[in-house]
Amino acid sequence: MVVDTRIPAWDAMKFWRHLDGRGRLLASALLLLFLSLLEPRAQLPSRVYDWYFVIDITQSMNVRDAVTSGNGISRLAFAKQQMRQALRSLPCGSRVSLGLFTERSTANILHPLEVCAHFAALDETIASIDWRMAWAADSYIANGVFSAIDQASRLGPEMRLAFFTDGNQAPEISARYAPVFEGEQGKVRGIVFGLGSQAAGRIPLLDQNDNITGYWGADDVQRYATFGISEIQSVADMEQQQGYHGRNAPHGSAPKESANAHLSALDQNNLQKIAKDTGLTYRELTKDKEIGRVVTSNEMSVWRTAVSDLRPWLVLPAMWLILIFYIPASLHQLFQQHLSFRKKS
Amino acid sequence: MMQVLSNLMVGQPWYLLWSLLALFPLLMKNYPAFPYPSLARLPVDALSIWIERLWRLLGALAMVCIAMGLSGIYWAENIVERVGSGAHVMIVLDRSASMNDDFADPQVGERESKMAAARRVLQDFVSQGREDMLGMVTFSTSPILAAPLGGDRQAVLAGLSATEAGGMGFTAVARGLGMALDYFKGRPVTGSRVVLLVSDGGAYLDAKTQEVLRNMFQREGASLFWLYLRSANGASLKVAPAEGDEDAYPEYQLHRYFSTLGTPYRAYEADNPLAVERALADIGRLKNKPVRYYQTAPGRDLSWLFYLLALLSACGVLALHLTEVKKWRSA
Repeated sequence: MVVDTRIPAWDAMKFWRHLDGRGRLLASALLLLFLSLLEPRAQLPSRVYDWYFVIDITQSMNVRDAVTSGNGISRLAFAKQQMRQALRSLPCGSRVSLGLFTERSTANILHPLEVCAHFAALDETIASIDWRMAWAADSYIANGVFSAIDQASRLGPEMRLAFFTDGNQAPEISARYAPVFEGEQGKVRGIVFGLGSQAAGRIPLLDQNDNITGYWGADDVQRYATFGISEIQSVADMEQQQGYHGRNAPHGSAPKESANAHLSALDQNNLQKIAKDTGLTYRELTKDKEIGRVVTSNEMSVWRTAVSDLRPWLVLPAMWLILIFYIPASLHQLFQQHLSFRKKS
Repeated sequence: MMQVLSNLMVGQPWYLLWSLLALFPLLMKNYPAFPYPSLARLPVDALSIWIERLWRLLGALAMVCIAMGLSGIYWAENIVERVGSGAHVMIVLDRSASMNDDFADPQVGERESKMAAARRVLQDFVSQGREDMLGMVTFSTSPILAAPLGGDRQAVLAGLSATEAGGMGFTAVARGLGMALDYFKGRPVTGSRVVLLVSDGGAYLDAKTQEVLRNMFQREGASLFWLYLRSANGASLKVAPAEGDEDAYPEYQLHRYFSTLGTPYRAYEADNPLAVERALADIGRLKNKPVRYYQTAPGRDLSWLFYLLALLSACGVLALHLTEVKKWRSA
């Protein structure tokens, strides 16, 4: 029989026959590794993540106490840096939407976009976020989180919320008028990321070029939570309170004053309470903690068909084959004896 | 050096634990034994010993490389070059509270807010398959970048959909235009630059702002197209208000100011679909050269490099394996 030996497949077959068992293991591993270099991809159900990133752009975020690498950078800059890092760590097929919080509400500025195809747009938009984008100046953090949760559920059924804030509430709020979460607790899952130092820092006043020109002083801010009607019920109490007037001074003439309303620290208690009320998770965000791992944690994932990389399915078996190749010959023989014994019986 | 290395990121570090398996080929006694009475009698062959060491090392290397590839090592700082052509259009969309009011000439149903009308018009514009580079800034009291100038139309559409939440705050036209113009700054002028303002224009500009804005427009050489959304009881730009009444029509004053910018300016009243088409056609007629621009991209995957290394090492192992003495030949 005449065979054209130039046919590579035939050569390969001959080579294969020529090999012993261990050589065949190795040759298969080589084939798998070679296939992986072709970067096979397929539409498969895979773990992806839908995140609604909301960032607090109120002025307390300008406090430069989010320390990274020795230089103090502002909480806002740190939050942006972390968001961009999170963006990089999300697998293709994940979607990200962006929102800004100031005053009492969160404004959605970008509907969900797939992270790989629209990476540049997302990355640049995050980079451009600035405290000057704030359209009003109060900071009712609880309202902001509630409205973000409300929006998240409308942006997508599996949308997770990541809220980057220092938890600063300004002006002071009367406990009596604190907002109450009315949505379904835990329906929208997500994380409240707390930023900043726990020691109170002064809030800077910035000029056009973001140079610090001064700081908010105690006299510049509202220090009394005297909005609305006071809680005092009994006449005795009313009489006791100095300068009480039912209409003009319901909190008396010397209401409880907050001494550090012009300072801002990471308000963990406030954020933990908000997170507990809404069913979110609270996490302090520091430099050492990998945000990538947090936003790609299994409990936040969604199963959806997405383009997935098939290479791990090829190289892992290749690795096992190489490992078996190195198993001592004596073990091999033991194996073969065992197998042949079973064949006989 | 540290700066460069800080760009190397590992996706799933725990996969690196697989590389512990590489100890196996290094430590195991793993060549076949021959039933020969006394191998000790043979002279020590230095070459064989070195070949064996190499063989173990290559195997270990292959496994480490596979583990590193699996862990998803990537290069974080990745900038890709893209080529765009067509006009460079920055859309400046008014998101102020006044945009929630009724539009004068609704297309759908009896009532349509100006915001919805603007969204409808812009969605048509963005979805058209022209090659223009687009970007979008929305503004109310302050401007917000929704999509950077580039070829990503989906991003602009996502920014447009986000305006469904409704408007807030005041109309700071000047700051919105300023932010859009900032996007042209420092880029080579390779195409016509257009700022497409979509607004109901209820804003006054003071003299100083007017001057600053005029300078910016001239410096960047950008033309201004204004898609004017008339309020239900608002005035048309075409009709000059009566003498002495000018102050009551901020949009007309804005219109008059824009015509003094010194760069091409056109106003379109979005009251009929034709006006919108005309605006688009005018943008299409602008002359352009292709432009190179740079965009950040997700990290560049480096795992292929490790798989390649693993392949090469495994090839080496196989080659050495073929040199191994499999059968004892008695001389």
